[in-house]
Amino acid sequence: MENAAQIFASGLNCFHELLAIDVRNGEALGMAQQKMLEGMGVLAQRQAEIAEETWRRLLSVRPSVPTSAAAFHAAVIGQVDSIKTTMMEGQANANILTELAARSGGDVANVLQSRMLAALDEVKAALEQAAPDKFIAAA
Amino acid sequence: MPLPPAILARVVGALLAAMAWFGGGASAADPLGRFPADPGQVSVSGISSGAFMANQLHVAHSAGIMGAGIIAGGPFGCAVDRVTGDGVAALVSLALGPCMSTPTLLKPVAFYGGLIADLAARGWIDPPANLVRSRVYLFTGKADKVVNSKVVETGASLYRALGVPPQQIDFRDRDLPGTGAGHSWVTKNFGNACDANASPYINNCNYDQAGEMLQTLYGPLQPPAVAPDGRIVAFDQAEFVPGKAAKANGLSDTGYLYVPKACDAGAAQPCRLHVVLHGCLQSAEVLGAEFHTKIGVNEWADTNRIIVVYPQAHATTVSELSSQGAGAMLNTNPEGCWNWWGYASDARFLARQGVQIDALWSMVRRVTGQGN
Repeated sequence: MENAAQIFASGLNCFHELLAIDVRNGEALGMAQQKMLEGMGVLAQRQAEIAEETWRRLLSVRPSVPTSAAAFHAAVIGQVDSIKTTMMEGQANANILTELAARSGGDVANVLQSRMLAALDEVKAALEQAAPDKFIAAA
Repeated sequence: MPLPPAILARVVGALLAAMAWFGGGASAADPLGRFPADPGQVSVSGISSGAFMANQLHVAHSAGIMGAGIIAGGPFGCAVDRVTGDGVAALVSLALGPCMSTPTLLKPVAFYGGLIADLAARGWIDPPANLVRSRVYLFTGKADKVVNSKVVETGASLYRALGVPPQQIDFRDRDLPGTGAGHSWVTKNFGNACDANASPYINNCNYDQAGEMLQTLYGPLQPPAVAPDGRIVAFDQAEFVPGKAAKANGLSDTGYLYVPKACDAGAAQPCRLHVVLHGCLQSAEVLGAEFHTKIGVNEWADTNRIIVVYPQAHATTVSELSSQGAGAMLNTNPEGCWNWWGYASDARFLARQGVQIDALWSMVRRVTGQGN
């Protein structure tokens, strides 16, 4: 009889432990979602800044018709330089967005992984507590 | 029964020798010493990542650093994306893009000025009003293919915007003869061809950059020595890093110091202190003694009572980081650069609390006899 009560108490304790682990898992998931939203916010803000800057520059360019051979030559060289700069800027902007996304993903993964590792340790501890040495020995 | 004194002495001697042998790997060099150096005559310079760090150190400790030499480096906070609650979020892609090759994407000078004001208001850096007294030398070569000249110009503009008078700023850019200098510390007679952009990033342009920089910082100096006869001293850098985790934070275990004879203990007059920060791929791990003996600084130091510290960065790999979670690759420092984009998860890398800045400042305090 005493053994049955002990087993019941131990089982109840284990159930509470598992519930607490589940709550902490939920909290970690919430934190991961928050990190993801923050990351997406930063990413979206940066994208908007890039788009705004691109439009601002496009609108500030005022094309003019070259009136001499020298002016035509200069205009062509200017266009080539402009294309080169635009390509480099595009690449740099893409790198920035990729890094922001990678960092945000890394933050989320770190939160989830830390929680998963902690949860495994907690489940192990709860199981050890639910099945004390004497029961294991008896089995 | 107690051991006879002679045997005891031999046992203790053997134990000490064994300890020294096993401890040798952790700290190969002696502790940094104290010297008769004037704390009011401390300056810093650097090239490339060392220039960005020199600028960070200057701004973070503007109350204690009288001037800076910035060779091929850009504005404070160049790689910062935003300020967060406990530091700043910086990006390696901002460092490699706008801060090096795509200066058209740099933010307006007012942004970097605002960042300095913000960090000062939080108490993370010294009040920028101190900078008004500073002397600044800046240099960019017109053949530099690594850090665009406009980035250095933005750095110069920021110093002006912070109130440094124009007569205290010496900005050398495109006026060297020929094709101009590549990405390098420029010397009068040592190194690659002047327009090279290759290792060891020390170029022979028949221009005495060390001399012009040091005279910008300290005023007119005695001519340099032909052959400096001071001593190079290796010192332990790990003691300046929390937990002695130097490598995890991009610092080598060993740094170097040049001590002119006139600055050894018992010197008649106090000496000056100049900190020189190498660039990426220029540490002693890569170049041996080349950087701290060949860039022309020691020659000027010898005749002008200047102690020179050459701290050393380390190429930190993933396995050396203190945290190896997801995104650890973004925290490495594969080319042994100084920390100006927040690697090793250091969110305060540009502030007084930054691991490297704190270590560098502790070295300054030690040499000038102020710190432990």
